[in-house]
Amino acid sequence: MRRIRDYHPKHLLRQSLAIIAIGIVVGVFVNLISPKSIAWVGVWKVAYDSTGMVKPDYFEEQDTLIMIDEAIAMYQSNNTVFIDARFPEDYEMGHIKGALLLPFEEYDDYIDEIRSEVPKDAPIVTYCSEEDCDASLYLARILREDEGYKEIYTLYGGYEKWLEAQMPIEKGYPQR
Amino acid sequence: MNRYLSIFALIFRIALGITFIYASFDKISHPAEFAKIIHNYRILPGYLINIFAIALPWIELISGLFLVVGFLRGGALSIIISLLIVFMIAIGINIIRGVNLSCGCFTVSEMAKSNSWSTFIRDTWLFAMALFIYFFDSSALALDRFIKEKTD
Repeated sequence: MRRIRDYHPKHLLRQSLAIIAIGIVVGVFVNLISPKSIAWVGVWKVAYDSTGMVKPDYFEEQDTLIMIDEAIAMYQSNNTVFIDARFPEDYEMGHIKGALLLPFEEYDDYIDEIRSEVPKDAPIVTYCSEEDCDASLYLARILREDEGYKEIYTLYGGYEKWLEAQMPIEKGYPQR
Repeated sequence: MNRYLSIFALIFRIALGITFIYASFDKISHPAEFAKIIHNYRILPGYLINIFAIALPWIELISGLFLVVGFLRGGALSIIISLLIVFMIAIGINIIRGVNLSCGCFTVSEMAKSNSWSTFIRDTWLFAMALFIYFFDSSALALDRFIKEKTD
């Protein structure tokens, strides 16, 4: 019988280093062969493009981000459906006036309503709270790829930009 | 008395090991998402984020596995204790900053925002379990028994 506290610290350190070394070797090896491999050094600095948009680091080619002015123009055209990807509590506290609720985290509970209310060819704008949230982008991908919605945009800067632009909002739950 | 302590230590050893094994799965299968979560903590410099996302889940997995089977369990436990301290500091820093982030503990699901305080408290429990193992684990059902070690 040998308790761990009886080990000499040097011994524990040696064992730890051995495990860390194995972990790094396996991790590096898997990252070499895995289809999901990532760059050894990521680009985590923000990069601006010509429109002043900071492409988020989780941005993918098929994503269609729009700036607040485009979103406002679409809102005013009246045929665009706005979908709120945040939590129901956030939605309740205030959302884009007329926006439907489809929390990314509780997708299964809400998607049926979206299916029945939003035609597949309707232009959709998803949004979440601000620049750093990514729920709206992921939601847009799911709606595009799994639900077959054809025209999906994501509001860059989300609800924060909407508030800054002093566009109409409402509180509470119109649905359910 | 001692016997009960070592039985509990064995149960804790296996439970803690399984916790770490389980925690590693989602991160291993989604390295890019996990890197994003590390980035969200805004603690590590950018150039270190990806290498952490590549290696850390495997270190968790191997430590957890070794703790369960009792192989190099002293080292495995030391790593787990160190990781828990690092996690608590990282979460603590973000509690102080007032940032509520998805902790990336067991899932890398985007926006899976957890209450940082409950994460912190859970880590404290795991930490207490780890300390218990440190003091009372008797190498029962441990591969370490079959390994000749220098008693330095």
